[in-house]
Amino acid sequence: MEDKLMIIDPHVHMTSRTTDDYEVMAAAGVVAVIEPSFWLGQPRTQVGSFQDYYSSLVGWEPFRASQFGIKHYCTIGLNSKEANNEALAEQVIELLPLYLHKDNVVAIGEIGYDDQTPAEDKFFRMQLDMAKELDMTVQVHTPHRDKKAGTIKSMEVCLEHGLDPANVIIDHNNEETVKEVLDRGFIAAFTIYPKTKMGNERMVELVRKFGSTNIIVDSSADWGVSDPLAVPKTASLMLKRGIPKEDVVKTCYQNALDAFGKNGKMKEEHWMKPNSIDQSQLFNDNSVLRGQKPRIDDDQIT
Amino acid sequence: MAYMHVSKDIYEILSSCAEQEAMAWLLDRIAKIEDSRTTRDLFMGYSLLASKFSADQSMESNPKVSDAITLFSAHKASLLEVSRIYLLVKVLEIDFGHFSPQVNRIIEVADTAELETFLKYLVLLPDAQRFKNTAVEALRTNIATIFDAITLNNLYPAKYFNDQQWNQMYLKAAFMERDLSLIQAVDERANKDLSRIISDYAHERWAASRNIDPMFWRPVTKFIDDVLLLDMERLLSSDNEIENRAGGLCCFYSQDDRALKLLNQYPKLEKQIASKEITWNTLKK
Ligand SMILES: [Zn+2]
Repeated sequence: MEDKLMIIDPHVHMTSRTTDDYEVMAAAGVVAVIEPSFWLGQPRTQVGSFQDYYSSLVGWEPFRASQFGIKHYCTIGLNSKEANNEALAEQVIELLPLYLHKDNVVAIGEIGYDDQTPAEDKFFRMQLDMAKELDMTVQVHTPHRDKKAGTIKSMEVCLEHGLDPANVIIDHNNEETVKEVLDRGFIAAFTIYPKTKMGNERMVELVRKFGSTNIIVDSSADWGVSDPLAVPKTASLMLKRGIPKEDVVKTCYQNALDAFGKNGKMKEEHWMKPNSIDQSQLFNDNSVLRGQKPRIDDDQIT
Repeated sequence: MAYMHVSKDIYEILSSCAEQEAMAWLLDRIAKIEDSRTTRDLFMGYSLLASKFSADQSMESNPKVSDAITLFSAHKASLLEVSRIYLLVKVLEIDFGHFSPQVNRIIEVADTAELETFLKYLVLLPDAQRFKNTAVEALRTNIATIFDAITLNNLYPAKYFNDQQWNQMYLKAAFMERDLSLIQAVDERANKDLSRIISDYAHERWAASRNIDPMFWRPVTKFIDDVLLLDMERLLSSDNEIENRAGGLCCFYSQDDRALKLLNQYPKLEKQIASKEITWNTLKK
């Protein structure tokens, strides 16, 4: 009997991906995704652009995912790059609370540092205060340049603002940062980048060395060169390389569910007992299906 | 205004059902908003309501009846819904000019569940006609729960829509096969233009051999003309008893001699209507 693993990709920018991706992800065992709000490659100039983006993350995109049997959640926040436009950032910060309580919002994210400027620091801290007041999980984006120092600073600022490290996911780790993150009680996420940086061979060795507690694998797939199947591929490589199945399940499924499930919005029952996929359901008159016959499952996925 | 002491009424019903701790938090938060007047305090407060008031617990029925309470119990409002409406009503009462742009923003970014709440209770907001765009926009949706929220069991359209908007709503409700008996003030908002639209729509449906909800005819009552008189004849002679009744009701209340004469040919039906054995409320029973 085939025993396919269930996979959660807790960091993937589906807005930038096509329905083909949703299809292959579902086929590879991805049952749920978390889409952090981030920048779109080109800086936004109006608060309305942010508003419409956030609205699509809580409205259209979960609907689109549902048509392929994938449960979509998101994290809402002002990303570090765009925090540098201070006048605009002020308006975005004001808007955020109106999204944070919505049904598929599981954390504030992805927030943190990019170039570690004073403006980035200011708006990172404002959002940490918000997380504290609303008792929310935080998903931290760590910088690509000066990574180690930036990662340590991110954690220190979180602690300074009174957050519980067990409720903070530090993302985009590597071999240099992982120990510090785990030692301080934070959750360490790893982005598997094709070709560069963190490839999945390296990930296997990391899990072998550090185990599976508080470690999460994600794809961070977006509009750039990236692979939306990074998590299922890594899971399969781990199994091939002799990592115990239990550790694969934890790093590619369970830990993400535990970390992002804390505010009660993300629940296993959402995909274990789905309301069957009904592609004929319309959202604002827009089905993602163009002329294909809707696929309607009248039974649960077994 | 029908709703004079709205926030007071809502406060009473909310505090009789919610936990004391949540109510204390809410009062505190409103004092903070009134004091600081910042968008941040309002938006954070609004966001926090979801963690303080249950979306699963319905309001218990309360013997002290006010218009606001009747409305909440008619819709089986949850504590969270009532707390959201309370916060919006309260800040608008504090300073309409200052807070209405923020309230508009909250409504603008609403998800489906929130929008449903706002539409159902829009009539409770101070200066409610200022939120008409939201209500009219909701007529364009294809999400049935949103359309129902503004259209069914809601006094807002009857109070604030112009004829064009009201007719648009009525026709779309029929088109989407909603329960037309739940639309409020149908007799009051009936108009000549709507009766023409109803007749045209019926002819289209008949030509396509499709049925029409007999309830659909109600607004033509006071506007029977030559064309509608023929429609009435068709209804009264139909094999469908509910259509007979609908035609009979339109004719009986039409105050139109020709229509009344037409109904005379169906004495049993006329008697049942005259004795109120058959009314629009019992049309399908
Ligand atoms: Zn990202």
